Amino acid sequence: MLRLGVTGLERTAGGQHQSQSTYTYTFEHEQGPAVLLNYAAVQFARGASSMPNQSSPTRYSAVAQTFHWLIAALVVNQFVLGLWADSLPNGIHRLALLARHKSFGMTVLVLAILRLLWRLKNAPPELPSDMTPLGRLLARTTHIAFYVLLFTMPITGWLMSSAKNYSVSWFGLFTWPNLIGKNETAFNVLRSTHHLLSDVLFAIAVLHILAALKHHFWNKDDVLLRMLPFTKSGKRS
Amino acid sequence: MMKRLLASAALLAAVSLAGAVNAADPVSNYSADPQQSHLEFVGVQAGANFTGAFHKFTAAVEFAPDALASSHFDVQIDLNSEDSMDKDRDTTIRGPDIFDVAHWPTAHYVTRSFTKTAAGYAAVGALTLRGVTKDVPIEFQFTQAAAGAKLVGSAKLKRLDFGAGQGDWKSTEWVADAVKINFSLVLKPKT
Repeated sequence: MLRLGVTGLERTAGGQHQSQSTYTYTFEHEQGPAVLLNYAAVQFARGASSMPNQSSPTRYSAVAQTFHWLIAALVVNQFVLGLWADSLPNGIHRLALLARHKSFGMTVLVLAILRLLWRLKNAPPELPSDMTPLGRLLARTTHIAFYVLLFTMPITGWLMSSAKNYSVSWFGLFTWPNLIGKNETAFNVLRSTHHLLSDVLFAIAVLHILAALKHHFWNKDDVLLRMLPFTKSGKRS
Repeated sequence: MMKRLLASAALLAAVSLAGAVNAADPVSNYSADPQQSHLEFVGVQAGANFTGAFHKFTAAVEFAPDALASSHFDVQIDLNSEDSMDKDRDTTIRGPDIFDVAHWPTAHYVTRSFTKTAAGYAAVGALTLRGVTKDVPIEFQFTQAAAGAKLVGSAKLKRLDFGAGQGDWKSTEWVADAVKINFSLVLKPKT
């Protein structure tokens, strides 16, 4: 497949063909998860903003906003349910809270998969041109970390439940398969990991919110507004 | 005098005849091999099934397919041997709100009658759990083997019928009332 791309490059006159379009060409003819990962990396590295023949949007689309706010609300709910359950002794109340925590957690996992697939196909608006390289790096790292956590939080939770031999039900409608067998040691490691990741998630969420507010009130750009529904985000200054 | 003697003799004969019939009882006496036999329950917790095994129980089985009237099961279950593969859950199940093993360490099941069904056999028996005795029907299949027999079956019961759920656990919102029992017994002739 790579050879196809290279042949394409060689065929173009005088080697003036841009390497970027060669890459796209190559990608479109490949299959498999490795390519998808590659694609994800490339899209993230480019900020998914320079797809050919696609003008970059100035606002997040309704779909992007829905994913963002729905998942944000679910994540806040997860913190409340998780911390509340942790504060209770073993009993039916803890069981009930954790059951809801798990059902919502699996919902987040499904939404995260859909959101990532959607995100890879749809470029977000570009970062403001006056942002510093450090600011851009921070923004991009935070966003990638969010995506990683939206997968690792529910998956470590799911693994935890499996290791403790408590199968995960989705709101009582169906039961997810256990990922691993009963394993007390694995459970303890997974619980620590789940808690550690939740601390990281909390920290970057604070960073993310502070950054959005800084953009809005200090830089006076439209970075916050373009993710808010029912607003117009023309040029602010 | 003679009459009374005759009556006694007749009574004696009747008794010994009954004894003879008993001795030629067509049922075979078995006991479950603890190494190869399994007894477990399947509960529903927060919408998901979970399984608990009883590692210690005894089952005295007197059974013959053609002598259902004189067949009889007697099962004693050590509730302290309950194991759902999670110590937190086991603590709750063995604790005062569910089995209360401190007061009622064993459950007891005794059959009363047997019937032949399309799939195998059915029996009605009395289960005593937490001091409450209620009828629980079972269904099973019985297969004769070279050195004994195999008995595989199931039962359904409602935990709250026996008070296995006190306080918060009386609610069926997060722990279902219905509990399934599965058993697979490897029977050895009683010695």
